[in-house]
Amino acid sequence: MPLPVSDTAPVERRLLRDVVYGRLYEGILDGTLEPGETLLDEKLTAWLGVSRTPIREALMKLADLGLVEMAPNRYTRVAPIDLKAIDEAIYTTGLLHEKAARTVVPTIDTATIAKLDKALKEVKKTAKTRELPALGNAFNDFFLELVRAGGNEVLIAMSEGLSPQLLRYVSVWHTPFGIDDLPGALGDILAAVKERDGAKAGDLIKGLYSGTLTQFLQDYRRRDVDIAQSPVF
Amino acid sequence: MPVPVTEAASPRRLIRDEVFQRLLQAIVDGDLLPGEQLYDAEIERWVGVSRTPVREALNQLAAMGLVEILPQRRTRVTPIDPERVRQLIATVGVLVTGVVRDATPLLTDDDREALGTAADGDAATAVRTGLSADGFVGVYVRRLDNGTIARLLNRHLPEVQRALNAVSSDAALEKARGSVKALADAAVAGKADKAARAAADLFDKTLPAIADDFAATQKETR
Repeated sequence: MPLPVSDTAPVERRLLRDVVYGRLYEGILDGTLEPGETLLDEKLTAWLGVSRTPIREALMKLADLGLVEMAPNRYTRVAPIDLKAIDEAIYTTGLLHEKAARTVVPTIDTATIAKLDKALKEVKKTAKTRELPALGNAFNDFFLELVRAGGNEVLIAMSEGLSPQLLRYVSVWHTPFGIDDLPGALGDILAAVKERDGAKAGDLIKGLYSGTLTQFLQDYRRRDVDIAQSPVF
Repeated sequence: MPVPVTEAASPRRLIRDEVFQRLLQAIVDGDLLPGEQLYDAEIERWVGVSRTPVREALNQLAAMGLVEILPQRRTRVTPIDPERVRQLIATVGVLVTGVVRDATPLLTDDDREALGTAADGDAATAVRTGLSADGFVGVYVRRLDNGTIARLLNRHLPEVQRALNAVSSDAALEKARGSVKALADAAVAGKADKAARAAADLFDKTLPAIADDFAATQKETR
């Protein structure tokens, strides 16, 4: 007979892991933990005051998002800023956001529009004051609200999973997005949303992200001979 | 000083990957049934390895959504949920449709030759192969060279494959094969927008119809 097991132990452990995960996630995105920095278990246990297990679990999850790199028996470190990976992730994010707009906008509710208004206000404010991490968050929130309104859990999880790369991008801000162009671009998208014009909102989002593909083809995509050597898929 | 370790000296990783691949294949093919309980000891005996790599492989499958782990209670193959299958198809479709739209101009002669036979064979094989690294999805994703999309598809396509393997509706599969054929024809002709429209057709219409059929048969058997 299997031993009866109470629910409390796994739940507490899960919460602990989530807390540790949250601290590390914030630390990486705000730069407290620097790109390339080695993460030693003993230092993390001392810093966060928890045991090794929740730390390892949180690190695995961060590795899955591409924020941490783990090479067994060699190192665990904050992933260095990888411009190619960031460009790829933002391109991919653009595809998801464009689709979300086309699907959601025609029947969008006023509550979601209110959230978009709020996010846009934050984008305008932080663009003016050049508060970069905050601007990244506001930009990301704007689109995540659209994605969440669609209710496709797989698509929502994928968008959220790509967010860290987009947020990291603000720390090395340069093309394809100009900071001063963002409030206007998002304003146009929101105007189309308010008209319930999904096709127009989708086209605007496609245009907003189109620079990522141009840049990828120019700077990051390998030659066909190299692709044949080590294909990505 | 860190101890120098070469790539070749990490057999642990290789063993875990081997266990992962075998379990993944068994789940996708339906040898391990949706909802089936998984016991560490049985898997250890089956694959012939110790507990640690088995747990690591199961964790990886759990992250993909193919296995459910309730700590200290049970581990099982995730049952097929038609609504999740619809969401997966839609999401994978967004990625694939975008890649088809943007990578059609990059296709090489070899790619076009490979795409020329994409819809050959019986409908089930054409559709299942099409949605794998061996089919049109593979040709396109490799050509675009976007590693992030490759990683996301590696994560989600097996679950789509599993759902396709579990259905037996020939009519629905035949329609999906039609979309694959239209996509391949447009790709060979170098028509990016037309190929993208066929991809959207596949993921927004013909594949979801398969998920609907599956939901209907599931209701009947209940």
